[in-house]
Amino acid sequence: MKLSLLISVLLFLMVSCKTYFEKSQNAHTAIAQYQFQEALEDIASNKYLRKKRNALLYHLELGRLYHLNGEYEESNKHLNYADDLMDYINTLTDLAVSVAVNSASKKYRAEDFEKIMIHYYKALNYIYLNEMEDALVEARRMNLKEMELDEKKMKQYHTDPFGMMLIGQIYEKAKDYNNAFIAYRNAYDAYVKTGKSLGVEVPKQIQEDLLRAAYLAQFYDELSYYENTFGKKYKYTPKEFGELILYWENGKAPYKIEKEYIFTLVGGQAGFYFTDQTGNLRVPFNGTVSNPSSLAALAGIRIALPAYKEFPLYYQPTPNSITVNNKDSSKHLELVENINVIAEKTLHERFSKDLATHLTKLAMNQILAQSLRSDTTNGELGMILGTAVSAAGFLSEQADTRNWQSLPAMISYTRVPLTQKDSNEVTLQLVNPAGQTEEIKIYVNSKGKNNIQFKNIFTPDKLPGKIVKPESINDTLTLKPIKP
Amino acid sequence: MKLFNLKTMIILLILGTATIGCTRKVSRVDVDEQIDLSGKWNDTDAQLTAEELTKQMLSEDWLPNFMQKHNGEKPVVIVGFITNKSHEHIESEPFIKDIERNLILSQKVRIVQGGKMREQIRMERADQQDNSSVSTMKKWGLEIGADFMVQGSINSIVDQIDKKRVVLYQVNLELTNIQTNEIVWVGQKKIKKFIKR
Repeated sequence: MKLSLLISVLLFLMVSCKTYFEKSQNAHTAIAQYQFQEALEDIASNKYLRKKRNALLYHLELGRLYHLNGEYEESNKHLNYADDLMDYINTLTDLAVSVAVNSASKKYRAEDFEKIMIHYYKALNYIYLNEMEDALVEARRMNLKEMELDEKKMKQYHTDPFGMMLIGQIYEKAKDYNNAFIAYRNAYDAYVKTGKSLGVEVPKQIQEDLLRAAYLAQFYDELSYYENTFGKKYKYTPKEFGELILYWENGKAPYKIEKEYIFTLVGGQAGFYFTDQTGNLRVPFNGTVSNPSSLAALAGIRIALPAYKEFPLYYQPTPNSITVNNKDSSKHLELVENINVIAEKTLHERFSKDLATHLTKLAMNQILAQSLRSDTTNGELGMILGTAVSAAGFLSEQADTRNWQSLPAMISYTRVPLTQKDSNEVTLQLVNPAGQTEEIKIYVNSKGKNNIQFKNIFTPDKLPGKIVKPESINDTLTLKPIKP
Repeated sequence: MKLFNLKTMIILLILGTATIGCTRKVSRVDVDEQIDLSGKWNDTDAQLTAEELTKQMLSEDWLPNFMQKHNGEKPVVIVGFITNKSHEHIESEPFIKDIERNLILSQKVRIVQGGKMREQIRMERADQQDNSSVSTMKKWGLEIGADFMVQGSINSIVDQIDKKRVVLYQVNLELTNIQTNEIVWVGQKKIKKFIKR
């Protein structure tokens, strides 16, 4: 009877151990097949995401999918809601849940880079909806998020150069060249300082952006300073038919899996520390116990940690050429945000910090179980309780595998001048794994001299033969892939 | 027996939590009551600012000066754009409506319709030319031209560290003489908020 009860409890706990990726796999398969409407419906009815603690994630995923579906207003409804939720930090209840149960049971709080990415999509949505005043609000909000990040100076990801560059572009579109210059300068500095560690090089285009903004803001001292720094003379050329800022979002963001480590507590007079099976990891024990001898030989402490798994990229992030109206633009897409790398770095940094607390918590649980087991005053009850505490601790140990999975893996960009009135055919050439070139064509109407337009293209996986065009999507955004 | 008791307790506990989770209390509150939830710009801020700025506007010299010059006639004012330059998505319309309402209630100035509403009025007038009886049909060219226009902006300065944030909202309003382009009044209202998250 006791045994069967234990087994049923075990089974019950094991059933709910699927990762978020496994629980939403249908949606992610649909995304990879460019079936955004299907993915949307799947996410909207996902029971796991509809739980209160996953509200933020639910709205992030929906916001992104509505964006992909060309429903920008609806997308912003969800993203604005998510943005509000991000503003609230963990409450005491959340902390208690994560300590007493596991971190997967607390409210979802976005990763730092997700807090920047939300503004990228909100800003694009507002720009596509022609609501420039609101796009500018996003630029300011992004700036505040950058300031929040900057407080975490010790971390490698303490600034997001891509976010700063986007702020500059929004200001430039609004013809606020002073603010555009400041943002571009911050972006350039951030790319130089942290770009490499975040998996990107300093984009060449940002030099051009910085010089142009300095010129247009009439900051001639700064202009000559940067001309000297970059070793080139700047000449302003007005764009007769305006220009296009093209973002290429390639691949799918990495997803989280659960990785298991078994630790043993070792040490003596000098202090205790945990070590894993390989002996490579050493984590200090930071708890206090009345009887140090109970710590000795504490073995088999199981810890479940999330780890990212990347999707293989179908299209190579190598320089892709772009033609405008069949003429080579001499521009290439440059990688500006590498989510694969940033995600990995932020997670690693967070966990090396939390590991000691987490392991100590588990060790204390084990000690409690041990003392219950050895307590002979209650006869068999002590033994049962001890086993139960130990089993509960073992099983409730579950990694938090939630992350914003509909994001791309990488974002590249470039700016190309449009060359004629009305419709311009912009062709982007992508290189597939066989080394062949595949093309995407975008049609953009000129909106007059010096007007800046934005477009983002997402290639989660191999382009299908035909992309279904959602009804509400802007005509100029139609993607027309051509088979090689 | 023991096991049964445990089971009952667990079921009761689960039911109890579920019931707590489902209740939601809603109560009516006075519109003037100050309620701050998130710390963002809200209806109270809009009301307070509109009230104070219109009071400022109507107590300045431009008003008696204008009336003196125009045989005691009240000036006609139109409320133009209030640009949002803050870090929050603020609907300027309720704010504009609050200003208009306060100005009308003061009975010191006359307010004419602007923006989209004016377009709608003009469409209605156009429609009347075809569909209304001649005696009730409203004529073109009889709108009152405004003497002054109110324009402004909502700005914000944010300072934050850890879980603390100080937000200073600064609302600027300007009143310009449409004929002469002269700025006759500039008003400012600041609201400072300290938010602990």
